[in-house]
Amino acid sequence: MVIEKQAIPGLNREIIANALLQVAWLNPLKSQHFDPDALWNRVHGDVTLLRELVDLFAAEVPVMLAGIEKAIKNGLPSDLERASHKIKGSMLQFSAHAAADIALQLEQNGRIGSMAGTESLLQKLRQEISELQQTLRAMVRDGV
Amino acid sequence: MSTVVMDSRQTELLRVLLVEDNALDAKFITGLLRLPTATLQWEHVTRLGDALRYLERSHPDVILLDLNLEDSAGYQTFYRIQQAAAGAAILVLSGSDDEELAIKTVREGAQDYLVKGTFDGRLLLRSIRYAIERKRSEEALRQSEATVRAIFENSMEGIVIFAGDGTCLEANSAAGALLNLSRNDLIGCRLYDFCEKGFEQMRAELSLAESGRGQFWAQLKDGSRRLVDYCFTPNILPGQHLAMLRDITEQQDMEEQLRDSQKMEAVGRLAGGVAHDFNNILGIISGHAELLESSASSPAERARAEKIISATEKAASLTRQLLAFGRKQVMSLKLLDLAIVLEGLSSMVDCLMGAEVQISIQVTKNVGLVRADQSQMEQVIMNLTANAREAMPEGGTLTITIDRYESSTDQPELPPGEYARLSVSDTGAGMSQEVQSRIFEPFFTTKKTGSGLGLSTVYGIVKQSGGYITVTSEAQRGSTFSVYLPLVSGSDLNPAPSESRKRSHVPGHETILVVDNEEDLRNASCEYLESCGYRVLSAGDGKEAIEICDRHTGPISLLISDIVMPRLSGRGLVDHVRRTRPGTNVLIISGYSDDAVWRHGIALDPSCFLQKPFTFEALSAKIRVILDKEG
Repeated sequence: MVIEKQAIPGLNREIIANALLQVAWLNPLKSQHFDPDALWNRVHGDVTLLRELVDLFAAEVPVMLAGIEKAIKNGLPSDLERASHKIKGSMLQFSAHAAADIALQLEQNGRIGSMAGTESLLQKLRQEISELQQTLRAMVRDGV
Repeated sequence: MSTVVMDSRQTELLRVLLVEDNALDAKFITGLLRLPTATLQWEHVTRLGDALRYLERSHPDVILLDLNLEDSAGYQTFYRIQQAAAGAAILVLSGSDDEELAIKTVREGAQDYLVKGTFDGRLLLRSIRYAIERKRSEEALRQSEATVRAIFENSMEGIVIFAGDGTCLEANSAAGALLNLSRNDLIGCRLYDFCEKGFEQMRAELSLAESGRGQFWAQLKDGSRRLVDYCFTPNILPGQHLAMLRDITEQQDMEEQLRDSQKMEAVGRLAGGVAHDFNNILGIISGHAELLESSASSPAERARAEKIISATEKAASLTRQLLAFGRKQVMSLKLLDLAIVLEGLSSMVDCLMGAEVQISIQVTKNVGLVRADQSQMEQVIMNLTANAREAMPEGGTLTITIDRYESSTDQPELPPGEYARLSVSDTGAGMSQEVQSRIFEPFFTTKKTGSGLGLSTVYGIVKQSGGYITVTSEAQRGSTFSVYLPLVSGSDLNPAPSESRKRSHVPGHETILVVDNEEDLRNASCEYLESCGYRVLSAGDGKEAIEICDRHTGPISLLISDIVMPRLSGRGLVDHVRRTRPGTNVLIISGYSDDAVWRHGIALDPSCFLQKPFTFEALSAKIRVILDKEG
């Protein structure tokens, strides 16, 4: 079922969000990597807002990933820590726990000054984010 | 279905500063707060430097703060923002679930610490509102505390917070000053230790846990005592009581002085009123005695009349003293040098003192002149001297000094200015405080034979002369009375000569209208004036006098009138006569002083006034002075 939330007046969005919460266990997108119900809940079912966020995600996240890659390439742990911390915050906002966990590992590496395994972690992070991005696109397209 | 209740706080426009360098997070946060109940005005900056510059010119209600920015990280970010925005609520939004950092920032003043991804829009909006409320409450509390502290520190009244055992826990400077201690020394002292028994009551009242007020005498370390007015409120905090203290020692002294002054004023008015009535009666007795004397058929009759006249003169002297006390005596003000007045009395002072009293007269030269009545000043010196003599029945030393005294502003009993000071001291037994407080009351005496008018007369004369009098006394050392008379500036040093009081019967032939409601005195006066050759008209009040004036076709050379009369007063009569008979002279007679004449609004040359009781000799002389001046 596709619900065109954008066309529904503001106060009714609350009703829709509650309804979505009640059927959350049915959500086929839900996984250990990402909790779409939590995200819907956070944005109160506002698909317009989510679309704006997803668009911004597509624009900003590659820049953040590039920042991590550059820090690793240049062997600058403090830059790695800062860039990873930043992307971790964003992943948490999107309820993307797996991506947030990988970003946290990178941040910790940067904090202790260890660059070992960071390229591999960055690779995993790219993968997680790529999958997340597809899921997010599906959410704003399908409304679930 | 839930209902959204929006109160005024929910619709209030909140100014929000978002400090976030992650564009995606910033969008997330602002997007989450796109709620119907959120009325927010956003400002978004990405760097600490930009935030600090913004805070220099703007005052947001709340700051949503990411701690890790491009130009600052961690607690330092919070600290810098907090320093720059003391009035704003700060909510930390962090990607780190760092409990230690969260506790630290909240302890240092952040209103909340939220981890990204753990809140939705409603939670964040609620957090913002709670944060603003808490911040405003804190600010109101801080301002309230600052206000209370300022009042506490600057209060003119002593404020003390003390424990149940009286130990002073906190005090302001005024409380310390009141108890002659520094504030720090007062803290820790037991308040009860300063107090005489009056404070025991306060201690008892404290056990009732009710507010109260009262007074107690505080005994200070330097031995002095202060009367303290206090009010207290128990248990402003558990086991802590508040007391407000005010030093009323000087206020009480001034109230006592005022009461004394009012009492003296009232007694003076009474004495003056009695003297006035008495003077009228004496005038009748004296007048008729003089008529008896002039018509006596034998030496024995004449001798009896003379005794009556002599007795009335003594009685008149007594009433003069009463009038002086009541400040209603007729004054003849002249510029006087007190030293010359004293010099003229020296032989009398010698006689008065007797052999067993040594006399020391110390006069400072060129003290200056005062404006006073010479005979009154003589009376002041003689009364004070006599009083000193009586204070030394076993002998001693009488000291009379005259010097110049300059009063400064800090002497409430003596206004600032330059004075001639006349002091009369004895070495007698001294006086108790109670006697000193009543010493100037009329009829108050400590002597079996005293009239009680001597010092009250002195008091009245000094007051009437615009001066002041003080008394100091010490047991077994004696007393000193000091009279302060204002010096007249710019005057020359030529005291006026004494007035000749010699009078005589002088015949006349003019027409005189005598107006007095005292019938007996009026008849005696008329009879006397007729015996002198005058043509006399008489009236019992002003109205009758006007009728006579209007009816009489010939000239009336002189109107002799009392002031206070029924139907029409002396003023009304004088006004009418001056209007209808401008050539008629006026002589006012009264049992009051010439002050009273002026008070009744009669413009009169002082020489055209005669105070009752008067002898017919004086009346006769006065009439001639007035009528002959005209010729």
